[in-house]
Amino acid sequence: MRAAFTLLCWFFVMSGFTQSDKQLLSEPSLNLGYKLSSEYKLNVGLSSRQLFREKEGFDGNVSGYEYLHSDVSADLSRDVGLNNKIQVGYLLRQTEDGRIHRLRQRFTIVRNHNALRLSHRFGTEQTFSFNEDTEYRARYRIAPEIALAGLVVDPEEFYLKATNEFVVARQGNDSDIEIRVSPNVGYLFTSGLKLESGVTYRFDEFLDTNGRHRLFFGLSGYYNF
Amino acid sequence: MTFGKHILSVFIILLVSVSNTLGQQKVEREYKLDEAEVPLKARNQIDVFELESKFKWYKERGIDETTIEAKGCSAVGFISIEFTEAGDLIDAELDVKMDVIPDEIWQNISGFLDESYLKWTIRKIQLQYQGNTSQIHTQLISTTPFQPNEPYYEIVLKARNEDGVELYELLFDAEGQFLKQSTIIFGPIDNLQF
Repeated sequence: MRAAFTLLCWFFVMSGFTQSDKQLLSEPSLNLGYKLSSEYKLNVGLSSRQLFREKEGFDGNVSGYEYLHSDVSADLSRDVGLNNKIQVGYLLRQTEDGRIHRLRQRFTIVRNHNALRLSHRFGTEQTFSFNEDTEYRARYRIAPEIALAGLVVDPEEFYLKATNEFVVARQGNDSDIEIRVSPNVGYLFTSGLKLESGVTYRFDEFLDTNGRHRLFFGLSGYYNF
Repeated sequence: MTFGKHILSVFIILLVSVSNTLGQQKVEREYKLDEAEVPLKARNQIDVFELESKFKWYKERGIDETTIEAKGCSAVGFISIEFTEAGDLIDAELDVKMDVIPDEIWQNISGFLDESYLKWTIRKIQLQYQGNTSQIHTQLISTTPFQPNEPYYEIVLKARNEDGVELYELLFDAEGQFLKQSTIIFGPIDNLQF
């Protein structure tokens, strides 16, 4: 929690003194999993993004609430070895201006080290929209998860999860790099249901401009049937 | 906009339904214990070992029994000492490398693994000692892990059979003969995958 508070303070300090664009957003999400067989699993995701405040540059315009988009996704994953998953998925994004389609491929490795679970996620994505070039992205995320009671997270127990992700994007002649950091607190209600809450800081568009700082407030639910 | 509101509705339903699902519980659970919560009898026995690091205490609740475990580092490696709820010693387990196991015993163990699985990899080996505090203490400061007591062997391994890959915990006796096997179950990793 201290890390989240520090991140929040740092974001507001940055908001006042830099030329960068700043945004404050929320993105709740829900992920539903259904085991198709001993190896295959289907996950359906729902999420929605809202913009609460935006400031352009040091003394630029300040705007208020705006609904941005909603996502629906479906991913098919297959177990590869112990706690490793390979997955392919499709995401549909509905914006005010139209629909965006995204194909994604991911490989996730999870290792257990006593009370720590450490995951490495590698991914590629192709995003198609009605009037723009196809965007290609490659990403890597490292995410440690620590049980706050005992060596494993049991039902009715809290845990901490942090993620750090790097995203490289190419669209037409433009390239971009995005860095994401996200501390979260999670609670496991039953073996199949968990909720996580936290903040995600994203920094991008710094290759050609002063950059864009975004802070997301998130609430994520995971349920397995 | 409407779609976003629908997602919010799903969240509210999820949160409300949580109270109905709290009754389902996993059979085996583990809790971290403060030292003050540990039975005095168990704490006194730990002092005998005069170990290098401070112990961490856990309570493990299973189907038939609840045990207290102390985990920590000793001069001979990482050890785990298990007690009953009343504080009576059950056994002690010492983490070791594979090459510590005598060849003839290892042949029995590996022969069993070759017959049982298509492919296997050792993740952890523990020597398991039973006896009273004094016997186990003597054992841990002994120059050899096989005298005066012969240990059992508890092995955690990743193995593949016809149903896929699993993590197993197996127990072998002092001769390397198989005694029992249990499958280690992991919770879903959805939150690390998405």
